[in-house]
Amino acid sequence: MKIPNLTNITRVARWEFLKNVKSPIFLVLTFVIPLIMVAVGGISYLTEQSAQEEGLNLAVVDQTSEFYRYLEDHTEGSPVVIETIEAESDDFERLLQEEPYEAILEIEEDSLQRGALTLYTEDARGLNIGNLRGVINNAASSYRVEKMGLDPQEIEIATAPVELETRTVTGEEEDFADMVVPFIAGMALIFAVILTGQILMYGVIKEKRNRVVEILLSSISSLELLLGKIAGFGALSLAQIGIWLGAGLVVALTLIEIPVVNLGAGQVVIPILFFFFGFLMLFSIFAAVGATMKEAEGGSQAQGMIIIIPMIPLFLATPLIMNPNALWARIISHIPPFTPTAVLIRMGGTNLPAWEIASTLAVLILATVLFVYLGAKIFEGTILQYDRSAGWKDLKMLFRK
Amino acid sequence: MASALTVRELSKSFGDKTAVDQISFEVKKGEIMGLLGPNGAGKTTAIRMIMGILSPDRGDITFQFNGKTTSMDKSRIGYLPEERGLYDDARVLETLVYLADLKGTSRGEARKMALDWLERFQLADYARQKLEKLSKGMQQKVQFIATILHKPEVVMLDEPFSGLDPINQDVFKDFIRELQQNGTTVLLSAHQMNLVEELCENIFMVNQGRQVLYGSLDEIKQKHGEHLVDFRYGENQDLSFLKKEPGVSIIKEGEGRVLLRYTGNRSVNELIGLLSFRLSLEEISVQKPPLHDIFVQTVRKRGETIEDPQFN
Repeated sequence: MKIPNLTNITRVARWEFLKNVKSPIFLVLTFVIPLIMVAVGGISYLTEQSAQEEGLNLAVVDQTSEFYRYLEDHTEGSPVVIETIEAESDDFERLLQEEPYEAILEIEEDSLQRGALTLYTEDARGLNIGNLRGVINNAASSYRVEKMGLDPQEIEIATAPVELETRTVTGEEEDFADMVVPFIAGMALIFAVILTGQILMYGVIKEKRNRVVEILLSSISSLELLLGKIAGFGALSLAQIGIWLGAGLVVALTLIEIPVVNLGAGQVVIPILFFFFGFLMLFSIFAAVGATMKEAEGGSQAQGMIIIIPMIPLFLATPLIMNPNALWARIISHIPPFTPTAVLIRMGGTNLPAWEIASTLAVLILATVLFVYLGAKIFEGTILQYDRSAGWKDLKMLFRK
Repeated sequence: MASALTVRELSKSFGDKTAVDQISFEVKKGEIMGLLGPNGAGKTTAIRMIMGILSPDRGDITFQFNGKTTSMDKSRIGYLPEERGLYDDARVLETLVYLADLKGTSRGEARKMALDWLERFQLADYARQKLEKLSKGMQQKVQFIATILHKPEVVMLDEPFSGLDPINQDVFKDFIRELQQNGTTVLLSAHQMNLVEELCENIFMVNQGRQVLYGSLDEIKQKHGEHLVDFRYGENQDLSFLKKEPGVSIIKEGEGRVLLRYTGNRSVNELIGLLSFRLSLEEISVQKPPLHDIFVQTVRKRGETIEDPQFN
């Protein structure tokens, strides 16, 4: 394989970028999908807000004759409106139908000690009890500590909330920047893979289907074409991420207060290295897979499934953040197709030791070189096979040569 | 004349199938050389190897540019592949500029030349249209422009007449002649041998990846010891003497006209003498058989088959 010519790579990259940046699919993915996401997020935020502010008209049957006072104290400023009544449980159904109560809370000494009160309502599913639960918990805490004989000042001390401040063993505070850069790089990689990676793969299939690839290969080598495509789509991906980040920042700065983050070189360079090599490796795989396929309707073909592989760590994102130092997390981080996303997600959850950053980066760089080489070989060997998709047999023959 | 392209012992196999088997030929600078053979004979594989798109298993390919021998310089070669196609969702002018850019022509110059060519092919109004809006014939013309826009010294045309109607075939024949007049070397691969006969001085004929005939078209025809004799004669004359004449086989007979193939040891002039002695001839013409027949007969004599059913 000849050393690729940088000018040819730039020419292909320029073409791919300019051609695809104007394509309807890119414009939809870049502008419409984020709008939908913002709209869905906004609806969910407003729903949550309105649920928090939603009032609850509650009747209380207090057989202890004491607990109601504590409830009253804690409903101040809350949308929960309470009224004490005297009634037997047989009357509850009639009361709920005739009176404007949405629910009736029955308080007995035994159940209060057990910590299990009963709330009666006509339709339990339609009732928002989030605010009520907070009121009852706070009232029960105050009630119990007062029963222990503590005076109000001691009660205040006993029920004061505790703030948790995390420091590393070297005494440094946990830095927001340590989390945010890997997180953004990880998410950017995943989005780039899901969206732009698919456009790249189907772009290769299309070039093969409309036969233009043969004209391109009469001017440049297959490796130059492959690298040019990766560079062009990389730029496209970065433009997309830039638009999202810019719009996101504007929205965030307008609507909410976000902490000011001062980034050090180390906090930026390492996640970007993982992003860069991850991108190069995964896109060379996708381009090579595209070259083996005959039709763009790849959903029915096994090769189409390859797009899912780098996304697997995303499905494991929660356990990876919760247990970033677990053995399985370390093993996954050393399996090349998973390495970039797994490491970036883990970096959002913990400070990885230097040796592990070095070993995973080494694995990633070696794998990138290998996959780019294999990708170019597969690309070269299968791109002119127009009549059918290339199978394992073809690849075996290709590598035997 | 100096050679522009030299191919030596070129071979390529795909699995068990040998697509090209030790072929060797030369294309002289400024000539139109025909690479002929039926579909599946190995022409496209050979051209793809010459273009550096496929790697040969064995053999050498060398070009001569400005008197210097080089293995490959893609920027000096134009290629029209058999499998045609361009970006159907890209604009015509943008596509042409991009393809010329890949060949090393500056974008500004490529744009100017592309507009000139589009004007010449009466496609100027479509320059900013997407290719998918153009008819198939127009797309073929755009593809042709893409092949020569960067002013190549050598042009490879793989089945350039496929899919063209007779009028457009003539347009492209003129265009290929014009390339030659401007000093461009052309390697023309085709299976329509009658079209190639009109354009080429030298030909290389291939079947099942192997050389069948190679050399000047005239020499090949002269060496082929066969003539087609077509004559008209007066009424009520006896033709039975012809059936006894060695080397004569009648192809068509009826209504005072005969077409026969002559492969006898005597000269064709002696045969004409015999015919005029025995018959009252009204008209007679003698021709060498078309290239297609020479090819088919040569292959059959070698005990080989032709895989393309349309060719037999």
